[in-house]
Amino acid sequence: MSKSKSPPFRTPAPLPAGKYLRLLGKPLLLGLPWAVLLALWTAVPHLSERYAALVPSPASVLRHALPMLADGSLFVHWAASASRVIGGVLLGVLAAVPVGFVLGWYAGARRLLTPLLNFFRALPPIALIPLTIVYFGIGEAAKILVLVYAAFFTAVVVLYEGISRIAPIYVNVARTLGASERELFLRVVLPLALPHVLTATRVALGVGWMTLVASELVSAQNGLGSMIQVAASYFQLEVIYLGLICIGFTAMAMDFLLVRLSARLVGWQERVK
Amino acid sequence: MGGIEFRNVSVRYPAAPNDGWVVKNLSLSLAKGEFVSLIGPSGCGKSTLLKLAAGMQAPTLGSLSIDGRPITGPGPERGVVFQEYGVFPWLSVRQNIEFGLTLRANRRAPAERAAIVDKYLELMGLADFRDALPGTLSGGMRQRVALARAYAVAPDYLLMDEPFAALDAQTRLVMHDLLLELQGRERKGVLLITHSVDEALYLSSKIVLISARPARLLEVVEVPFAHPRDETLRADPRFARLHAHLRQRVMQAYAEQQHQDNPHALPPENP
Ligand SMILES: Nc1ncnc2c1ncn2[C@@H]1O[C@H](COP(=O)(O)OP(=O)(O)OP(=O)(O)O)[C@@H](O)[C@H]1O
Ligand SMILES: [Mg+2]
Repeated sequence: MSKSKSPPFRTPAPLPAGKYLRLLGKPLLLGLPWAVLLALWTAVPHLSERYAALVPSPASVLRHALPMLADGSLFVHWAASASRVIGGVLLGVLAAVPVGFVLGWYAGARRLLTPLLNFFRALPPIALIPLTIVYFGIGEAAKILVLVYAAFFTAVVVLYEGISRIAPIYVNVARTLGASERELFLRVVLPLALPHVLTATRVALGVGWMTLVASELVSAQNGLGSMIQVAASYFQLEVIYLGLICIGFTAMAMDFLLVRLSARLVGWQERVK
Repeated sequence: MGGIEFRNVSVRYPAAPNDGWVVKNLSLSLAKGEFVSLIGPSGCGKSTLLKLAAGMQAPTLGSLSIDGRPITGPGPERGVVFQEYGVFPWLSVRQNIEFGLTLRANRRAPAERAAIVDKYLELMGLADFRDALPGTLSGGMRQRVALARAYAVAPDYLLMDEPFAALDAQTRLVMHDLLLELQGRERKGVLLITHSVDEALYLSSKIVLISARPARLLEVVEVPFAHPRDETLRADPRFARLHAHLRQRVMQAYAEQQHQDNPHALPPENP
């Protein structure tokens, strides 16, 4: 136990280089790495004929995107994927919360069930896709199920690791103030577990995107994964790029929203930015 | 005749050295309104004694009682202030102090609750920080929040485990006077664990010296100074004499514990 509890640094002194970058203004600064990436991408097709054939330029990707935006087909693919990820991850995390609590709280349950958990967690969801097709067909349920599986096992581990590390001091304090077991759970364990639920959701979202696109690559009529798969068979590199960009930005936006939500709900955590 | 009573208490942790006995056949009593300090070397079993009194663990042998009833668990009549404070980081200062009063065991009506919280915010000098989160407070302020939270449920006894150990010397002196003032207002039975002879002498009515592990009673010293006490007490020659005596006994016990924990070190140079 650390004996000194000095207040945390709120505003670290900026590095000299950081000071000058800050003068550029925050939006400009945030746009800088993207601008560099875009410039590199634009440059690559100009390097040689070969590169030009293999790497579509940003402009040609945009040219392909515009009609798909106009007729709504891109949106349909995007919405199908995004809703599957959100649904699957929510269901998976929801199922993981009670299991994570039991495993985190009771060391006995942890010892008993951890090997089993590690067995199933080790199975790559992608490797399960053939089986889900056999058992559940290629419908919506099969894809969601693979996602729930992946989200569940990812979230359970994050959750019980976090919950088993809840400092006993808070539990002891609450008990000595007269808390019943129920009050202990609702008023102390739950607030302390919330950050871990949010972290688990974040990690599960990442795993969710990976799993979903893989499952859509194998079998789907719509979704960004299937859009990429179809484009691949016609060698439409522009559409593949477009699909990847959509996945990247959507995953990024979801993570950003979740981080904002965490800051609101569990800002007391003094998290390092 | 109430109080907290340790009767022939022994505690054994199978994993601990020396057969695992950490407390051996210790008897001790804390009367209502009495302020008892426990001094003993690091690792001798003081925190263990406090956890027994708090009802957070049971003795291996012997028994404990409070006001004649056996101790079977924690209870709101015994407030505890831990070494690490344990201020809830997700609650504001006000909500922390209020916490015990919102539990079923000692729930108060909102108006009464607010009055109690305001009183301790004022007493502890925390009024300006009522809505602050603990993460933004200094160590001394967190300590005061922990103390206020324990006081708010109006316990008859207060069990404190090195509550001022992490504070700077100046803040510690301020906390001593604050604690004496609170004792003057509402006299509680206090069990204070400390390494500081000065702190024990300044605050207590009785000082209990604990031996190296396993914890036994070495000596019980009655502190003769009347209340109210203030800084001038520290200049009193009787204070200096008691201080010197206690210090010498404490040093012996500490040296013995050090030798136990590290037998190959050079023997302590004891005059
Ligand atoms: N849960 C436990 N399991 C095994 N051994 C323990 C346990 N808790 C404490 N001990 C051992 O019991 C002894 C006494 O511990 P305790 O915390 O009561 O000491 P202490 O007197 O409060 O020390 P300090 O002054 O450093 O706080 C130590 O040797 C410690 O290693
Ligand atoms: Mg201790």
